[in-house]
Amino acid sequence: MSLPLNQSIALRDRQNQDLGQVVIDRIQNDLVFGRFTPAPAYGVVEHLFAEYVEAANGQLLSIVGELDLMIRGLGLHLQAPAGAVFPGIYDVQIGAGIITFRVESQGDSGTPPSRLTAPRIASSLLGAELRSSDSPS
Amino acid sequence: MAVETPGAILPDTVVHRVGGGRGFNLRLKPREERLVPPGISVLLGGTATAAAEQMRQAFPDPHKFALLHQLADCVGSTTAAAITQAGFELLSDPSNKFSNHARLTHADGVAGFSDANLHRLSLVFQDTPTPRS
Repeated sequence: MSLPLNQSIALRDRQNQDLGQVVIDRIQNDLVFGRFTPAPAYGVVEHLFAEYVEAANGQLLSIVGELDLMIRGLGLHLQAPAGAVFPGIYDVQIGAGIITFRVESQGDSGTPPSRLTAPRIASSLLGAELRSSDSPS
Repeated sequence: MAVETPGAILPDTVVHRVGGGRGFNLRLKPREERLVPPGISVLLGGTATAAAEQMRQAFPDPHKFALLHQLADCVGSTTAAAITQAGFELLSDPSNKFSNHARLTHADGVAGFSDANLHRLSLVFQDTPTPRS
């Protein structure tokens, strides 16, 4: 099923938490541009996306690479209506109310070859991140 | 993030610094000072135009990434050999998004990125305008 334009779609994580609503404005090949309205659960991971934007704007590509793995470890996906299946997404970037992501092509097993090791690493990194954020301030 | 050992990059490899090779764009930012080893990001291979476009494609939203898209209007290019001759080193540091990413470092760490050393480094870069086509 292709992604619908101008309809509100829930963005969910690996635990199926609703992180917010996505309204797709345009699709260019595998790249999707949309608007993003955060849900309360987004607050837990918002810093990852904010740091990502800051690092990219500073051309800090080593840090972008680490954050990429952490964000990928979130297991982000779009919630399809009952009975439908949306394609998998990756390279999710959120900031200033805008979301972009890429759509896995049909026939992908869900993980491009160069990313085969990413989820395991990301889970580990994310665990450390969450443990860190759990610490009392 | 771990990087590969020096020497993995051939001397004639073309090296690009998005934003140009002037001193202020080669200076370490605070988060780069904390990397091990400290260093700035460069892209290996291809043309200056391709490096700029690679950055735009990787971070496609021109609003969120306005600063980076502005930087991508100019790319400084040199070779790995010239960087070595200027007293700096290159370490391969590929990522999922940038398989051609490398880190430009100095044997003296943060102290190696002094004004005098950066001036010497800037002389080996040639800037090319790379506006979005």
